Amino acid sequence: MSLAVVISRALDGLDAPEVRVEVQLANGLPSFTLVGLADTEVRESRERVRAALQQSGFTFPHNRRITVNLAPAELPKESGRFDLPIALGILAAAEVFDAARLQGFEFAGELSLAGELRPVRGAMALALAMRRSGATRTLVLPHESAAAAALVPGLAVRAAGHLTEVVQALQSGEGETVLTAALPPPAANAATSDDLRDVKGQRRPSARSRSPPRAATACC
Amino acid sequence: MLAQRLPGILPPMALDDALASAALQGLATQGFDAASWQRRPFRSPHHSASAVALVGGGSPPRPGEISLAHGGVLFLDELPEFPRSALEALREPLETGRITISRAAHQAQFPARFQFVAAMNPCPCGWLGAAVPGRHCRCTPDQVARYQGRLSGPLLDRIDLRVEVQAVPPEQQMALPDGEPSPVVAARVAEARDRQLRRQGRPNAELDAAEIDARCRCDSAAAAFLQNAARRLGWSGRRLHRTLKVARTVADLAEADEIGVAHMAEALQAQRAL
Repeated sequence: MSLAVVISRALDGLDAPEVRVEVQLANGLPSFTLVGLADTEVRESRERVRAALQQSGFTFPHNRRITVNLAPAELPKESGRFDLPIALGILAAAEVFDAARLQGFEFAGELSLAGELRPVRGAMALALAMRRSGATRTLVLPHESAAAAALVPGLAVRAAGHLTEVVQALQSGEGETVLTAALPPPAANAATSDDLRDVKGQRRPSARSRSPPRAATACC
Repeated sequence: MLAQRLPGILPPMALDDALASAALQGLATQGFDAASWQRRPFRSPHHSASAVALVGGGSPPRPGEISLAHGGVLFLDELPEFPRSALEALREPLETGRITISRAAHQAQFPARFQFVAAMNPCPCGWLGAAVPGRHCRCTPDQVARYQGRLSGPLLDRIDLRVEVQAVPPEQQMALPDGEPSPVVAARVAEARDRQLRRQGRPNAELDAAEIDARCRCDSAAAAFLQNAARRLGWSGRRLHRTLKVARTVADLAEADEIGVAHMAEALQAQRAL
């Protein structure tokens, strides 16, 4: 019997509370069960993870009884964000790499059947929640999500494109340095938004010409 | 047209606001667009939007237009055409800057501090009060009252500025000069906002009742003017406080320390009912 725990986060409004992805491999009739108030998309993780692991060249533990628990049990879980944590948990429980190497990381990402990492919704909410919680872990996300999360100052965010990149980083024990650091998206050009100059006939000091500046000054 | 140009003169976003706004956009279906980082959002939903689309909802709860406009502008064109339930749902967020969405299994709170801008015609045919030759309003008084009545008193009470925009006769329209460019106006706005932050640490809009008395000092003539108007028009306490804040803003734009009669007059002018 082997047990591995991977830390991830679920979306709850604008908050992103921590989720412990617990993976247990036991003897018994082969099965792959996922529990923890998982939505349809999360339950479909089983198919995506199985295919992604096989496509990436890893052996899927067919003959074991696999149980995945997404704790806490009363928090609803949605979307494909738990694919990556589940896949890593299975590999750690199957001792493809040392489960202790998962310490100090948080993972989120959807997996394609080929093992590529796909962006998750609410990456910035994840990063903000991690910052709020004061945890000093490294957040590992797919490239686009990592770019958004990197806009939050003071966090260690790493980007990965494929499941094998993440596994190699964890096997080598130098996950911090092996994965690429996430870069925020390049600054956009100066906004070419509409100009007040186009609004004609407002030279009179009437209430009308004064209201946009008044509204702008008083708001926000 | 004016509403779309409002984000261009708003002061730059603080980092925390930009992060909150970007995180909220990331929760929506379109996701976060990197090009809009640190740019104040401008949302203008069509008037077929439901209350849930406007304020948020669903299971699991997702942010609505008001939260997607957090830190920016929510523009509702043709305001009376919106469903009544959608408009009334705006009341609490306009007052508190937050929305709590409650469902049987779950509650979620989203920030919703936005600049609310709305546009409407005064009557169904659109020509009430127009000074354009050949155009007369053909609505009965009852039709006009029913149309304007689609906006409830409490909702109107939360609107600080009401501005009448007159139709410009075509022969004048072609000959008019350009307006002031946005950067010029934006500089004035930023300067006035800095005055507010230096004086009280936050913009006038965020002053609470206790602070209003302390920060919005009027000279005696302005105070008398305001009391007179409030008594004659039967204003609520909320209306009075909001008018004081507008007058304080007008005074800030004029770089005055105390609210004078001219500032109060301009604030009162913007409180005219429909």
